[in-house]
Amino acid sequence: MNRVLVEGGALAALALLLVAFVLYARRCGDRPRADGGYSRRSVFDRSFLREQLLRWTTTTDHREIGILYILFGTVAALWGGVDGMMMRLELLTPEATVWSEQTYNALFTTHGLTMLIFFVLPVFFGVGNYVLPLLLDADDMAFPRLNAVGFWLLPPALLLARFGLVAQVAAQVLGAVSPGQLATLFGVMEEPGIGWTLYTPLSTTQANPQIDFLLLGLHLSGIATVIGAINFVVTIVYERGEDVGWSNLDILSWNFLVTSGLVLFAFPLLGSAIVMLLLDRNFATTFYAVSGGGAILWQHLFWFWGHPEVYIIFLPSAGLMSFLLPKFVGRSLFGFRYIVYSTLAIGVLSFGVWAHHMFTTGIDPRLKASFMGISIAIAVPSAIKTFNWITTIWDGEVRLAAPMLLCLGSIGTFVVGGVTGVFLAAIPVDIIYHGTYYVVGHFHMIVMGIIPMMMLAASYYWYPLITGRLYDRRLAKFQAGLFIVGSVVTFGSLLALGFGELPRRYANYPVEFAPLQRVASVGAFVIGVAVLLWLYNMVWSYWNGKPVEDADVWDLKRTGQFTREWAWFEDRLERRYAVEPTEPDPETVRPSSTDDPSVGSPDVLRDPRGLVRSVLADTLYGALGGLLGTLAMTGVLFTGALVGVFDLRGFVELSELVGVEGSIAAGYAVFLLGGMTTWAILFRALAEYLPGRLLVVTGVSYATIMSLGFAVAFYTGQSGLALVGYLAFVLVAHWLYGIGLAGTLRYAEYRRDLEGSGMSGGGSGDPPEGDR
Amino acid sequence: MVRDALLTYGVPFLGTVLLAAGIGAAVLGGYGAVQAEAGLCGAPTIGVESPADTERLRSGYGDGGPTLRTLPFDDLSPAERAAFADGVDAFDGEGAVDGAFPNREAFEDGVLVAYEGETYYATLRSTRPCTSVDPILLPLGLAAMAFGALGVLTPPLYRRYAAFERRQG
Ligand code: HEM
Ligand SMILES: [Cu+2]
Repeated sequence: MNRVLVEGGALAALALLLVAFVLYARRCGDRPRADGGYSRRSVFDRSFLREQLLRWTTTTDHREIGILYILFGTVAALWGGVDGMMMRLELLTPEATVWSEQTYNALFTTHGLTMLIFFVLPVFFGVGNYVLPLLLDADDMAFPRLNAVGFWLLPPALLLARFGLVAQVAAQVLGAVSPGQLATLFGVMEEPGIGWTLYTPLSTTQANPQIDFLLLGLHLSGIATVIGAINFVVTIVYERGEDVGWSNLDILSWNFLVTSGLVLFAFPLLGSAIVMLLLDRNFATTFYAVSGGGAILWQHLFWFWGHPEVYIIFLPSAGLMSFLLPKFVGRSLFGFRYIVYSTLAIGVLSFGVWAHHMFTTGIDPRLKASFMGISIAIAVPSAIKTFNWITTIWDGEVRLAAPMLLCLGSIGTFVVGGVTGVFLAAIPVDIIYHGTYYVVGHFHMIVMGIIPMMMLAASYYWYPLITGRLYDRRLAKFQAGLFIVGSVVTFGSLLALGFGELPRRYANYPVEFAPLQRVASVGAFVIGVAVLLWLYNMVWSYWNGKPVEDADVWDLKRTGQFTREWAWFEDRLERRYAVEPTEPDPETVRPSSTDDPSVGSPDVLRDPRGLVRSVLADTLYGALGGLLGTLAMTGVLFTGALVGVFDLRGFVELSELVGVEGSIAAGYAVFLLGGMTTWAILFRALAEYLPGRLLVVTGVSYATIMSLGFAVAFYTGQSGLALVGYLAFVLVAHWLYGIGLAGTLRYAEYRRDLEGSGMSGGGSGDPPEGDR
Repeated sequence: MVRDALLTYGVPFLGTVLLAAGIGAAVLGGYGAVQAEAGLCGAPTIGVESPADTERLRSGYGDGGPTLRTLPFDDLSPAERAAFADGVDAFDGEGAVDGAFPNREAFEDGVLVAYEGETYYATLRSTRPCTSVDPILLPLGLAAMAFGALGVLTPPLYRRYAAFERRQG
């Protein structure tokens, strides 16, 4: 398939959907309210647009830059995520049929680079920019303008690194319109397929000019990262408020300090290594050629950056965990000091283990052994963190809000990722598993588990602080659960595939791995749905969430954990509104209807005529409900027939059963009649004894029971997939029947109540939004 | 309480799983349905190295390296010739063999092609087979996606309905 069009199309569709949704959410939020209402200026207003553009491109405010970072990282995550989904699509079949092998190579390369370089650190830098100055009681970052420069280097860096997709889209469009030199030029710039580690000699011998752009983009992003890190270090060291000393510095700032320190040592090295690679490619130097340093030199330089980088992206999430966890268990962090020490220890040790990525190359075995020692040793500080987290939860007053769920999920996946990592640090094991899915499973348990999970947790935790509104908490919990389940399923299957020693980075694989690969793909799509739900929640709640009235959203004052950023927020709420913000009284916005069960019920003894009328009406409505339900059911069944899982012959048999000549139409008429009378009346009679307080639930349970009989009666010898489809269609068709029947009956009762209480007058407005 | 949790978390969860499985099934099924018509499979691709790279690859082994067959360009079938010419011109050196492929085995092993006085190393890069999936997969996948979406949307729908019933007492 044409990967470019599919990926470009998917991204464009995602962007369009998002824009449409943002506009819609804005409009819903703009509706005049009962409390007088407030309107916002239209997005399409020219002066408004110019004003906003100027504001967001020139801002030096740490909070606004933080938001820019977070938005940028989210875009990169979605882009890299689309790559991931496309890989999982390819792996649904053992043979490379959906995309070509070359496309698959490009996919895992761009996926890895986008995720590691353009997603994780930008988001963490955004979080740091937003909350660190608040936590430190600083006015802003130490160098606000440099801060803006650091951010604005990133978009061009991403564009350079991923110019291949842009170029290919351009080439295809140009090629269709007017094939010429320009089209060919763009056509040459394919997304490289050399792996995110850019190993030489492959990366030096491939002619693709996009590789040069990629290297330039990476270099630029490295500069941006270093600038950001310098700012963090100076801010934490010099800009702390008077009452913030080293002894009471919060754990998040500690982690950011160590992370930034690592960045300062690691990234300049990557920059130099990249420049050498560029020179080798374009100016005939021989740094990495056999006549120069050799291919292994690149690996040494790369991993001397690469392993610290792993901790650079891990430490901020560990910091978030140590920071957020105590808030939801109502205790202070257990062993604060040991967590700080372990963070520092990781910082130092992480520079001493790089060669564990090179156990399968020909470096000296004694050297390898020493790297094995340090690699196993670095597990100790990580384990200390885990034990401290678990001890913090122990005996705490655990509140299962979405951030807490994510913390629990994170600890779980981190333990799996860590334990599998210790095995990889052992040379004999690594020799076997190095090139297999075991490695992919191991590192995704960490990069996919703890990192995005803590980002999500942070997004929920600080959402009220940033937007002044609450998100949909139930949806958040559900989303968190989905995300955790999806991750465990996907990357657990990858570990299992690894135990089968399936090599990684291949688009083709032996058939016996297909079932596990499919499970992994379905899990990945679950993650995708979870991400979209998160996006929905964030965007929708920004305009339509419940406004925050009390700064202590998480009830932190009670346990003495109301930290500075929330105090700042409380201040702001008071300053901005002076009066506590309130919501319109729900009573005033309710449509006219009755709440009172005693009003409008028929009084049997005094009003026999009413009784007769109601019985008649009941029967009528029962029939009507049956008709609606049966029609809904018909829709599903006929779709099933079209699909080929349901056989219309079943109706013929039905008509023969009642003694009419066998035809589909006659059978269907009988079916419709039965649905309107027998089953509907039976439901009326049985409804009281069926489970479910709401009538619709009762209806669904009733229909579920009925569907068993139906499935047996209408079975026409389907097998395999078709059988599964048949059962699913029968079940869903019956649910619709139940909902249609019960819904109509309920609605009838509702109308009668209104009439009875003299409150009708067509007053069936929208039901008020249910509780969220 | 239990029902509340079931409807808020259980049903949408099942819906999500259905939706996710449906995406996979629908993509595969849809692809299976159009692949042949759209010319997306069946024509294997060969890769051609430039004469310079060919020389570099061969000399890298010194003496005693692998011995490769040499095929004159004129001995190739028309489809092979077209693919080879495409490969020589294309930046990534790939061309698709759309037609008879009598020298397939040679290309699988890697072969030297003599063409206009130069030698080119050529190999089979991708067999691009057609997938064979049950045609029912596409409609089933679409149906699963529809049911799944319905499942995901259950909580808000249910809440609206519950609010409606609560108002009548
Ligand atoms: C929806 C979630 C994700 C899915 C489905 C996914 C899937 C995959 C797959 C299928 C591969 C290729 C395995 C192979 O052929 O060897 C891969 C590789 C990789 N992924 Fe992910 N991934 C996800 C999230 C992430 C995240 C969040 C990160 C980093 C923060 C990440 C970093 C990487 C890296 C570095 C590679 C190695 C690329 C290479 O082999 O050169 N992934 N992923
Ligand atoms: Cu490492």
